[in-house]
Amino acid sequence: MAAETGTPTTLTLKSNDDELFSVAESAAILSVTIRNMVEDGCAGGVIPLDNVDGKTLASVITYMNGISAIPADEEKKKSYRDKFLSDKDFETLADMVLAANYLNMSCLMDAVSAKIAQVMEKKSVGWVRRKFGIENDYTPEEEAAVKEEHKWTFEGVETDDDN
Amino acid sequence: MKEEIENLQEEIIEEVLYILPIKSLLRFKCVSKRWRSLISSKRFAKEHLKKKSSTSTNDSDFSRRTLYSFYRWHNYCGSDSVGSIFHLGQCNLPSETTTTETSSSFNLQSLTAATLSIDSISIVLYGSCNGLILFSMLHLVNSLLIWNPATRQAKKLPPPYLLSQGMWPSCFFHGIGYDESTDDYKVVNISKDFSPYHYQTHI
Repeated sequence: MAAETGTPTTLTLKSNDDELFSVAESAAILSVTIRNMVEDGCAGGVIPLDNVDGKTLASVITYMNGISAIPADEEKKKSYRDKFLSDKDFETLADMVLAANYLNMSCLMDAVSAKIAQVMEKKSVGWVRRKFGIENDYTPEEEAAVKEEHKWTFEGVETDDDN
Repeated sequence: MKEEIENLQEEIIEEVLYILPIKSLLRFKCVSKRWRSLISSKRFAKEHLKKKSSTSTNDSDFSRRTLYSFYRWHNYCGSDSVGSIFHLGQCNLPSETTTTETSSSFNLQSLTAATLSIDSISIVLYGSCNGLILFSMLHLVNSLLIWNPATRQAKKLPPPYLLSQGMWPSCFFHGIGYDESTDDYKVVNISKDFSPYHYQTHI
């Protein structure tokens, strides 16, 4: 492994829309998926990441580089993650959680999930349906009945910001 | 930019839902039938409780605050004690459970935070477990109630067996606990004049 030889090794990652990215192996192996490839000796050429597009992969690599530059200090890592995610919109976060899942990066996965939950917390039912692409399969009567059951949870909901 | 995230796999959505506070979850039961059955499932509730217990969150803080406010009320009204017993347990923090045991009953002007809007009624608090609170109205001991302050739902239990048989033991206590073997909450009733028994309830 690179850390033992002392020579920084660079990996080449390819997104599903054929963009190529160079990233230090020491940063890339934050992804268990990539680390397994490196350990199995199949990271020599270009590593194709079929489930991640270029825009998302660029973000993930920014994160990999940023977080691996921070020494083992959980507080600093946390504040880096918070800052990194602070300006991301829902669509970007959703792409990132899928990428983090595919790449098996639990620290990014947890941070993005928590951020998505934070964004969702005060949103309306309609907002959630639109963002998650969920079809409302209730009849109006059924929906009113479910709503009536937990009426108090509809207090303090934010006005939708997506239309 | 994609307007809809169609392929956000279900398991990832579930992971996100576990993090949400109960108020949001109950609202999102309206999203679809699938979401309602997921959020209402016992498996989901257990997983949610587990995640919430391991981190300090608003929900567990809320349960704790509620218990504290019960406790404060008790201290405030403690002087006109009539000698019943209640246990105040913060069982929603499994690893660091602290149980305060005290001997008194107390009056509560109203349970304003609850959907139970009862004015000027005497409440006897028997115990709590995982944020659930077991109590009854004073002088109406055959109506035991379990209240979940986080969901603001209450459930009335069937009257204890002896009382339903028309017998009135001179003294009895109730407690609530979680039984891992049956994966359910159990209310235990011990009476002085008769042998102990328990019955089971689903929450």
